[in-house]
Parts: sequence; C-alpha cells; structure tokens
Amino acid sequence: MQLTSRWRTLLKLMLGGGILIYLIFSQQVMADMFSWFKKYDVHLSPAVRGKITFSGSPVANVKVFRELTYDKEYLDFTMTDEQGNFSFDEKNIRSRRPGSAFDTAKRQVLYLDHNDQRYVLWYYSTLNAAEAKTLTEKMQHLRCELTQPETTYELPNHEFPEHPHGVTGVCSLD
Amino acid sequence: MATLSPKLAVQLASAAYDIKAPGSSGIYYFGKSSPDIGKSFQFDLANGPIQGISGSILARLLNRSTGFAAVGKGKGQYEGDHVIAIRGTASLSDGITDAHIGLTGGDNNSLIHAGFNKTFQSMKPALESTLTPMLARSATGTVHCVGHSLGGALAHITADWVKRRYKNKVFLYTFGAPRVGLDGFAMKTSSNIDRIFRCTHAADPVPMVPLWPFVHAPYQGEEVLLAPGQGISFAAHKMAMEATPGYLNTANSNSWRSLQTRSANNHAAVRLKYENRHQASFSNYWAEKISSGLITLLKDAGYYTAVLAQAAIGTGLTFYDMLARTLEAVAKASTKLAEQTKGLLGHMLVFARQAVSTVAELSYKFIRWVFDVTLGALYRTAREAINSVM
Repeated sequence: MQLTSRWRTLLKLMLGGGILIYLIFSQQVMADMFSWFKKYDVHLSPAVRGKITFSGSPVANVKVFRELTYDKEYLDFTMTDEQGNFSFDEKNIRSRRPGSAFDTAKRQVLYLDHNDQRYVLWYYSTLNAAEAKTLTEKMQHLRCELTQPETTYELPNHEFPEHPHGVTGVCSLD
Repeated sequence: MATLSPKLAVQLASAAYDIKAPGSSGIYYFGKSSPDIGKSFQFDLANGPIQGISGSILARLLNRSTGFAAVGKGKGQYEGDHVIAIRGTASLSDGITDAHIGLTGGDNNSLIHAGFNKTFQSMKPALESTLTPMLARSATGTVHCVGHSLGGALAHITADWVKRRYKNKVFLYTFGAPRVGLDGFAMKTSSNIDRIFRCTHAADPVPMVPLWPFVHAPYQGEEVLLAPGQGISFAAHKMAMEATPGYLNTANSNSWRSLQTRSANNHAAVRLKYENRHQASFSNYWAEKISSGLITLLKDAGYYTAVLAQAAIGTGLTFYDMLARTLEAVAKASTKLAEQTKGLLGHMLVFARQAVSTVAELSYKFIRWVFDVTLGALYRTAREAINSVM
C-alpha cells in the first residue's frame, strides 16, 4: 500500500502548493475578485435583416434559425415572408464571464433547411464580448442566394484593425 | 521546417476555444473566423474534433467528453506540416482540472500533473488514430503543437508524445500555460521537443502555478515575455483582443526575433537578508525570488534532497508541516542559516502583506504560523471566487 500513501501525500503536497499560490495572489487581485461578482453586457448579435433566394426566386415561408452561443446556447427562429425577407432583433445578455480570468468563445450561426439541405448563411466566432461595427453593418442587408457556394469573407475589423474578421456562409458580403 | 509566426500560433490557440461543442445545429468550423489560419492550414471537422474528458470529478463520473483538439494539414509554406491546436480552460468543469493537483507517472516515465495527464490520456486514442494516417504520408513534416492555458499544458504533453511516437520534428507554442511536471519532465521534454516557444505576460498568474517543485520547460531556458509589467492580475491571462493586454494583441507579430525574451530564473541561488525584507512586494518577481530563497536555503543546509524525497515517500504530515519542521532544524544548525531562515520568513510576511513582519523566533510553531496566516486568510477568498462563478 506504499503506492497509495505516497500518492496521497503527493496530492496533499501539490494541493497545498497550488492553493498557497492561488491564495497569495488573490490578495493582490482583490479588485479582480470582486469583478467576478459583477455582470457585464455581452453583445451576442446585432439586428439582422436579409433576403433569401434560390436561383433568383424568393424562398418564402421558411424557418431561419439564429443560433448564438456564449457558454450556453441561445436559439431563436423567424419565418421568411413572401419576398424571402427575414429579420431578427438585436440580442444582448448579461453575464459574469467577462469578469473571469478565462476566455469564453462567442459564436453566431444563421442557418436554414430548404429541400432537405442545410444552408449556413453566416458563421462567425470571437473571444470578444463587445459589438463589432463592421459585422453590425453587414448583418443589416444580407443577400443570400442558396445556389452560391459557402465562402469565407475577410472583412475589416473596425475596433482591432490588425485582426480582420472571417465570416463564412452563402450570403454575399462583398 | 518553418516555425509558426507568433501571430499564427496565437490565432490557432484562440480558435481552439470554438471547438468545445457544436450548437444544436451541429455546425462548427475551426479557424475560419481568423482568415490567416485558412491561408496556412486546412481543418476537416467532418468527424468532429478530438474529444477529451476534463479532470473534474463530475465530468469523469458522467464520462462527459468535450472537444479538446483539432488537427490541421499545412499548405503553402507549411505544406507537409501539421498542427495540433488544443483548447484551454473555458468552463468551470475544466477549471477544476487546473486546481486538481496531484502527481502521476507520465508516458515518458517522469512525474507530471495528474489532472493534465488524465485529460491527455482521454484524448490520446483519438489523437493517435487521426495522426497515424496523416503522418504516414509525411515523415519529414513538422508537427506544431499549440495551446493557451490548460491547452498549453496539454500541448506540452502532446508534443512530447508525438515526438516519441512518430519521430517527426515537433515544435511547441504555449501562451499563459501552467507548469506541467517536476524537473525530470521539464528536462526530458526540453531535449526531446525540437523547439519550445513558451509565451507569457508578466502579470499572468497561471504560468506561476503549480509552485515548485513543478518546473517549466525549456529547462533553465528562455520564455517569450510578451508583456512586461508589475503586479499580478487574473485578466492578464486572457487571449481576447478586448482584454488588457490580451495574448491575441501582444503576440500579433510576424517574427519571434522581434519579441522580448527572459531567462527563466530556474532557481539561481538567492539568499535573503532580513533587514532588506521591506523591498519585497506582491509581484511575480518576488514570488520567484522567495521560491528560489527557500530552495537555496534547503540546499545550503543540505536538506533539499531530503525534503523532495520525504515529500515523495510520504510522512503523514502535510507539506507545510514538514517544511516548517525542516526549517526549524535548519535554523538550529548554525547562526548563518538561522539568519538566512529569518530573512526568508521576513520576506514572506512582507510579500503576503502582513502588517507586522517581525520575525521574533524560529520555532516550528512560529514558522508554521507564517505559512498558516497566509494560507488561512487567503483560502476563504479563493473559495468565494470559485463560488461566485458557479
């Protein structure tokens, strides 16, 4: 049983070491600590407006899904009208996560199922919680022709110019 | 044989956060939101990412696995190369992995962090079945292993394993990664892995844990210090562009040569003078210095090997009990060692921001108290911090 007792002692030793350092550091980072209790705004999606066509004809009365992920999934959907138009409202949540030491990925997916096929209209992910101006503008007028191939567009990043956005989907973002 | 640029490495480490789980639609891509990645590597997630089980007890009981790694094929200047991008700590269940500290024998027969090793072992079969056919066609290509935080620790274990299993050239890039194993592991992996780029921010607390006897690789080598600074702040661990400083911002460079490096102060001899204790402050610098001071004292007194051995065989005492008893014996051995012990304890009290930093006696009881006041008061704070995110 030497192995078991050896392992237990090591466990205690390492736990002690780890706790000590965390604890020592936590005094200094008191300000950070309390920020963990605070809630922050997380911008999940701007308002969306778009039009869906198939070979130029409007795709009417089809469900368009908006799947937003930030720790949890926030899923909603809307129906296209007779002209193929659809829209979503802006979506924001409050979360403690921006105050923590660890990054949380934020993902925006717009998709629809049409004639037994799933089409990705928009796919984007980031570690930023705040809104991105370029994307807010692009999402105001999505032109989605379902016969087009899925493409990744490189878009300028207004807030962090050195990090262009990559948005993937069938909608034209040029 | 090209290395990844700092910019590409950090973007890959960041993109790995997105593969934890797909949404209900089942749609997820790797790296498409950072256009640079797509220019150099191609990822196929048709079979999903490499799954792993994080070290939390709940995750293991439920056998709950999440996406941990994605393997990409190089193109352009990286033709023939592969990249393994591994995810960091993104949820509380993963966070427990970081605090779940025990030791275990790793694949290369040296002692490593048990939690990191468990997660690595849970993803190894899938990693192997993905890599084997890919590398069979490219024995000369480099395998780049990339990760942030826990992902950096896993990338380190992965890089060592890939090198021993496949013989390809292996480069490792970590951002804000904790120490993974004891000196044996650090030494073995430093010589086994072809190049190691260990990137840190001075204020990031994660590379400071776990404490000695855990040691960083490259062993007695250099780290890439992406942001200098005073103090310690949890926010300095983040990657996000909107964080300060944010690894995505500080590593946004095309060449490693342009970045600042710092020799890892792997325990140069440090003897702390009691009268200088007020110079200490709560910082990374002094954390390292005090750690080195403790090790030097134990070495000077001839107790270093004994303390390590005792820790390994187990005495039924906690580590700090054992250490306090050892320091009491050390202080009794000579006036010089007593002064050195007093200097260490004085610096610890100032570092821990005790109002009174006078060292009146060098009894077991007092030494134990120096450890206790620090541990006791701080334990509550950490618990509150953990509870606040539940």
